[in-house]
Parts: sequence; C-alpha cells; structure tokens
Amino acid sequence: MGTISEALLEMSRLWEETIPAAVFSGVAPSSQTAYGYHNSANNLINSGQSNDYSLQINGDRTSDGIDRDAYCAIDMSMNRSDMILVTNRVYKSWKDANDPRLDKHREGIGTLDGNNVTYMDFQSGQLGSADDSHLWHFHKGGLRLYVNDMESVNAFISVIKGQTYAEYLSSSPPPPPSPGVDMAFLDDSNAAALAYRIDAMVSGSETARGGPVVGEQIWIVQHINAIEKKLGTSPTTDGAKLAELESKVDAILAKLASVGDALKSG
Amino acid sequence: MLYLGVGVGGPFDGVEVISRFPKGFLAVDRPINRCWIYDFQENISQFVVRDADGYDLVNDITAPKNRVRAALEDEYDVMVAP
Repeated sequence: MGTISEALLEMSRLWEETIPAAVFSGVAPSSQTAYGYHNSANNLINSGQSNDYSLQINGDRTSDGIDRDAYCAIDMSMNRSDMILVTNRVYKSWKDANDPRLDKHREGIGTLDGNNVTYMDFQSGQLGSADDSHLWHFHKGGLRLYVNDMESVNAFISVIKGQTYAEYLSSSPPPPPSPGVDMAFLDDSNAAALAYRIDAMVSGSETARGGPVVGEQIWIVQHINAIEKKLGTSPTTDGAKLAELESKVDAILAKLASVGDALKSG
Repeated sequence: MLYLGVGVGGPFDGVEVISRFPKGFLAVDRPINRCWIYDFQENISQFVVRDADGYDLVNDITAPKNRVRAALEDEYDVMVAP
C-alpha cells in the first residue's frame, strides 16, 4: 500500500483551476507492483524493484530521507488543445537554463503536437517518448524528496499557467530566511501581542499597564520623566503631579501645533 | 498494463481508448458537469457506456461516489470527455 500526499492533491486542485477542462486522473499505481514514480519506494523494494529508475538519482534515493510510503506521480487528463498548451509550457520552462521551477521535479510526459508523445527528464535533460495514453493525460513524476513540498507544487503550477520565472517570483511570497539567520518565532499569543503593540505605537495610543501612571499614554510619561530628570526632580510617581505636568505638556504641544500651522499657512 | 478498446455509445462512441485500469473508465466533462461510465468488456475489446445520457458529475469529495475517489482508486480510469 502507499499514501497520497496533500501536496499532490493540492496540485490537482490548482491544475484544474488553471485549466478549466482538465480532470484529475490519478496518483496511485495501476498495481502494487507497477514500476516508476506512481508507486511507493517501499512497494518497489518489496516487489524486488529496488533498482527501479525512480529510486536512483539524488532526491529519489531512500538514503535521501524520502517518504518511502508516498506515491510520487500525478496524472491530469486534458483535451487535445490543453495537452498541447501545457506540454509546450513545461517544455519551454525545462529548456530555459535560467528557470529553476522544474528543478524539484523529475519527469513530465505529454504531447507537443497532439500526435506524438514527449517524455521530458527534467534532471538529466533526456528527451524521449512513452505510450499513447499520454496523448490525453499529462504525467508528472518525482522527485520523491519533494512529494510533500508545496513550494515545488506552486512552481510547477506557475509553469502550466504560462507565467515567466520573473512573474512567478513577483507573484510568490518571499522565500523563508536561509538557515543560520537569527529569527524570532512567535506563537499565536505573542504574535497578537506584537500586533497590538505595533498598532498602539503607530496610533500613539499605547498606555501604561501598571504603576501610578497606569492608563497614561507611554510617550507622554516618557517625555514627562525626561523633563523631570532635566529639572532635577524625581521621575513621575504621583498621579496629581502627573496630571499637572500633562497639562503643561499639552499646552506646549498646542503651542507647537499652532506655530506649525502658522508656518504651513505662511 | 494498459487496456485498449473501442468506445460504444456516449461521447466516446467509435473512439479508440486506452485505459490504465481493468474495469473501464469515467469520462468527465467539467464545463457541463456531466460524466459517463464505460465498462470494459475484455472479450470483445470494447468500452461500453452504461448510460448514454450520462450522469451529473459529483465533485463533492465527501460524497460516497465522486470523481476524485474514482481517480484515487485503481478500478476505473478518469479522463476528459472529447
């Protein structure tokens, strides 16, 4: 037996969105002893096919940390014109040395002209053929290491959409930071607190949460403390004194605002 | 293993078909939301339509019988209707 990854199912949904007449045709192998990417690594090995071509290259070997139970190919059925369209888009991306969107995939089989089947090995660059069922369904296989990888799915879907690599980059979320870059990981509560603080700071409404100045806007308290420090008095700890100082600050700010308005109008 | 035969009735009438699965195939027309079931008759190498008028296509993957389930199983192939 084997498993079907959520990423492959998502690929089928995105493919159908992109090509309105396309139909998800399958993932599972035609039998548990079938060769190639449709079958899982464990099924291949257990049926004496450990030398199958889909287990040999970098990203396909069991030692690479692949999901050994996963079926790793998808078939999408399309009409003749869509088969030609999609196959040509994949072929064009494959042949572009500056386009890495197929780098995590192994093979594609379709038809460039509606009459002949074209096999494309994205890893070796080999061009070939396959059986005529690929005149009405496109096969995408491997690499096994990326069968659960949504980034590789999105890259492939971008190709069949007809996007250029530059368009794909501009429409994709930025890649995650590379390993080694210091990051702060936020859980949901921390993220919510951070969002609150950013919003509060931007709006200037963040208030003190405790102590004698509880409820007062932080930036006012900080300014008053700075003024008191310059005057040689103790930092604000008294509510009445705070109110008195606030009124003075408000008066200063109002004066500054009127001066500013006068300068603008002048 | 591939199963080769000629379609009888429905949208594949007279069309040579290759199915990858032994019981036959499901022909799907998503734009009009219809499907047709073809059963493979190996002795005469024909895929015979069950109902030439077809059925409403079931896209709901939680339904007991739906097109995605057919694609995920290994009895009927699924292909676009011509």
